[in-house]
Amino acid sequence: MNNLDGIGAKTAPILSVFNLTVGLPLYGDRQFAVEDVNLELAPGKTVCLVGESGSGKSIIGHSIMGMLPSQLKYVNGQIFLKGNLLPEQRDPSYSALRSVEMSMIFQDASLSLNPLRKIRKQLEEIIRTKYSRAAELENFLKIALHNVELTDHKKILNSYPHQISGGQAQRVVIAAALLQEPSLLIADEPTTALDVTTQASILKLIDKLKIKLNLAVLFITHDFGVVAEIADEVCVLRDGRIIEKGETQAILQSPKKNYTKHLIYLAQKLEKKENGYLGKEVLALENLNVVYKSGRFLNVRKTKAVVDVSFSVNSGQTLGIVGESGSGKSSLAKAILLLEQIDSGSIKFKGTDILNLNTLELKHLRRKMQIVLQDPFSALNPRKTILSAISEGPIIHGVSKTKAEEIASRLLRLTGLAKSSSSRYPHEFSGGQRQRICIARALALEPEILIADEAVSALDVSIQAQILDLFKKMQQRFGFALIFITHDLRVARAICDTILVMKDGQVVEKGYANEIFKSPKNPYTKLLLNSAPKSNFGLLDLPN
Amino acid sequence: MLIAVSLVFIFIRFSGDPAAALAPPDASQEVIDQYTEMLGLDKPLWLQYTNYLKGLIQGEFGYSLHTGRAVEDIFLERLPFTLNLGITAFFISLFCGVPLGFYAALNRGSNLDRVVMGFSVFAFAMPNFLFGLLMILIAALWFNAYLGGEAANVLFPAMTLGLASMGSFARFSRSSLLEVINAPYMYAAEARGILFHRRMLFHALPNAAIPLVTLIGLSLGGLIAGSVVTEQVFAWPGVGQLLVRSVATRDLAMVQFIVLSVSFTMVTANLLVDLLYLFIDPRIRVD
Repeated sequence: MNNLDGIGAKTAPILSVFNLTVGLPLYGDRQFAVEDVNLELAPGKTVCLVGESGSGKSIIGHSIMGMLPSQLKYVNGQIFLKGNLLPEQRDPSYSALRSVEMSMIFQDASLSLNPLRKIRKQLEEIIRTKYSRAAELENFLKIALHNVELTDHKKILNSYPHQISGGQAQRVVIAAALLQEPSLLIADEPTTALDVTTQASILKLIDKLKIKLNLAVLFITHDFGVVAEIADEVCVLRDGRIIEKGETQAILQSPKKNYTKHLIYLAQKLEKKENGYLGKEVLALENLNVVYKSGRFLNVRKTKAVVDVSFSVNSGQTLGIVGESGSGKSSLAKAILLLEQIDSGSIKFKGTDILNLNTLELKHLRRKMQIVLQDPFSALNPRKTILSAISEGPIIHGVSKTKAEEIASRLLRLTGLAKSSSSRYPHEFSGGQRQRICIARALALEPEILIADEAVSALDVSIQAQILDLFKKMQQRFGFALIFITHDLRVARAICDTILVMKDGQVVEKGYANEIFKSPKNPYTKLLLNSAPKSNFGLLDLPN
Repeated sequence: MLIAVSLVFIFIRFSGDPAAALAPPDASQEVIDQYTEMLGLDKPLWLQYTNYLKGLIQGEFGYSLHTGRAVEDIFLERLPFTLNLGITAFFISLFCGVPLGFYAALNRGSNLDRVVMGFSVFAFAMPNFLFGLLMILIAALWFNAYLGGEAANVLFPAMTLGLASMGSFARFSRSSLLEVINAPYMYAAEARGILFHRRMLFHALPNAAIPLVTLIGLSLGGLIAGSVVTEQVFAWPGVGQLLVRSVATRDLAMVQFIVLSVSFTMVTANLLVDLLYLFIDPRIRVD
C-alpha cells in the first residue's frame, strides 16, 4: 500500500484509478472516450458511475478488467488493485486476476452465458483446478447458488441458459462472478434489462453480498433511481469526464451541476398529467379472452394470455397498460390490432364490432390503428430511406406518391427531425431518432388509435423524456387515443390519464393514474410501486 | 418425395418423344409406332403415371430403354465412382475451407484475411468447367497424371469439384465465427478469467458450428447431383455422366431413377441435419 496516498481514508482502498484517459479512434465523435478519471473504491462500499449511453462509463469498467477492445490504442493513467499496479490492457497475466481478484457482470445475463452448455459446466469451468472430488465440487456450487438465493441448485445446475428466467440468469452470473471470492465486483447496468420487481430483488442481493463478502462494488448505471437504491458514493460522468462526485445523499439532496440536476429530475419526473379534453369513445373491449394453444393435437396445453379484459378509450385519452413481462399486455395489444386469434369477447371500434369484418373493411380499419414498437432498430427496414418508409403506408392506402411524400416531410418536421434526413437510411440515426421516425411512420396514416408497445423502454432516460414529450405533443395535435404499454411505472405516470394494471392476463386494478399512484388498492399494484427504483428523493429545485 | 417423383414424371413426358429418339432417324412411322407400343407410351398419361407409382412402391424402377437392363443395376455400377469423387471433394473443401475461414476470422482485417477471402470469392465464382479444364492442363503438363495411381486420378477432379464449396465453407465459417467471437457470452467468459484456448474450444467453436452444419448438410445432399459438369469434363464414369447421356437419349426410366435418388439423398441429408441440430443445440429440444 506504500504507493497510495489514502488521505482521510480509514480503510485502504481496493481499487484506485489515477488519471485514466482512453483515446477514441480518429473518426470518433470526441478525442477521448474517458478523460482524467480518478476513482477510489473501499471494501464494503458501492460506488455508482452514472451517465448516459456514450458517456464512457462502460469503458472505465472494461479498462479496469483489462478488456478494452484493441481498436482503442491510446490508454494512459494508472489503475491499482490492492496497491498493485495492473498490467497493460489485454496482457495475458490478466487472466490470473480476472474472477480471482475482480469480476464483472454485464447488462443481459442470459446473453452472458453460453447457450449450448449447461450452467453446471460453465460454473465448474471457473474453479476447475481447485476441486478434484465431485462431491466437494457439488457442495461448493450448492453453497455458491444458495448465496445468490437460488435454492433449487440441482435444477439450476442442470439447466441450459434458455431454461431459466432473466432474474435467475442474473443470479447465476453473479454467483459465477463471486465464485473465487474476488474483492472487486464491477456491475455494468446489470438490472437494466429486468422488470421492476426482479430489478429490486437483484439490487437488494448485490447490496447484501457487498456487506457479507466485504466487496467493493463499482456499479455502472444510467438511472438515478437505481443510484438512490444502492450507492454509497456517486460519480456523474459526462462525455468521458467525471463532473461531480460525492456521497449519494449529498448529491441527491443538493446536486451542484445542472447536468446532475437534470438527470435526477428525469428520474423523478412524476408530475401528473392534467386530465385534458376527452373526446368520443373510439375503442371498447368487453370480456376479451386470448388463449394460446401449444403442444401436439392430443396433448394441447392452453395458456390464458388475456382473461376477461374490458375497458374503453376515448380520443385524446392516454390509457396505460402496466405489468411485468408475461402479464399479457403485449398479447392484449396484438389482440386489439387483430393480430392474435381472439377466443371470446368483443372489440368495438367507434361502436362497430370489428371481429367479423371482411378483408376490405379490415384494410380500412388497419389504417385507423397503428403501433409503435419497442425496438426502433429492428422496426425499420434497413434498405428503405426514411422518406419511403414513412410514405409507404399512405401509398398503400391509395394516396398519390407526391402527396404521400408531402405528408412524410411534414411529419418529419413535426417529430423534430432535420429535413435532410428524408433521403438517409435508418442506420444513420440514433435510437431516439429512429423512434421518432417510427412515430412519424405511424402518424402518416392519421390513426385514431395509436398503440405504443414499450416504445421508450429501450431508450436512455433523457431520450425517454423527449419521446414521451413527443407523444404528448402529437396527441394534442392529432387527437388520437393513445394506448401506452409499459412495465415502467415512472413512464406510465408521466404520460397516462388512466391506467390498467395487469397480472397473469387479468386486470387487477384500473382507474385514474393519479389515484392509482396515490392510493393503490390491489396488493400487486402496491408491490409494483414499491419495487420501482426510488423516485422521490426529497424535493428539489428542479430545472424545467 | 411424392412431389419430386411426380414432377420428374411430368417434365420428362413433356420433353420429347423417346420412341422417336430411340428409332433410327430414317425409320418409318410404323416402326416408331411399334416402339411406342412396346414401351407402353401409347397408354393414357394417368395410366402411365399410376403404373409408374405402383412400380416404385414395389421396388420396380423400370428398365433402361437402351440396354434393357434394370436401371438400379446401372445406377449402382456408376455410384461408387461418383461417391469416390464426391466424398473426396467434400473432405477437401471441409478440411481446407473451414480452417481457412476460422483462421481468417481470428486475424480479421489482416492481409492474410484479405488473401483468404479474396481466394474464396474467386473459388466460388470460378465456373466448374473452366477450372476443370485448367486442372486437366496442369495435370497433363506438370504432373503427367496418366502415370499416377488411383489416388492421383481422383485428386484433380475432386479438387475441381471441391473448390467452389471450399470457398463457401471458408466464407461461411469466417462470418459465423466472427459473429460468435463478438457475442456477449464470449466477453463474459473472458471476464470470468477463462483462458483463450478454452474460450475458443468450448464456447466459440460449438456455437460457430451450428450454422455450418446446415451448409455441410446441403453439400452432402448434393453429393450425387453436384458432379455432373465435373464428370463430363474429366470423362469420369459416374452418375453425372450417366444422367447427361440418359437425358440426351431420352432414356425415361433411367433419368427418373437418377433424379429420384438425388432427391432422396437431399431429403435424407436434410433430415440428418435436423436430427443433428437436436443433438447440438439444446434450445431446439422440446421437453
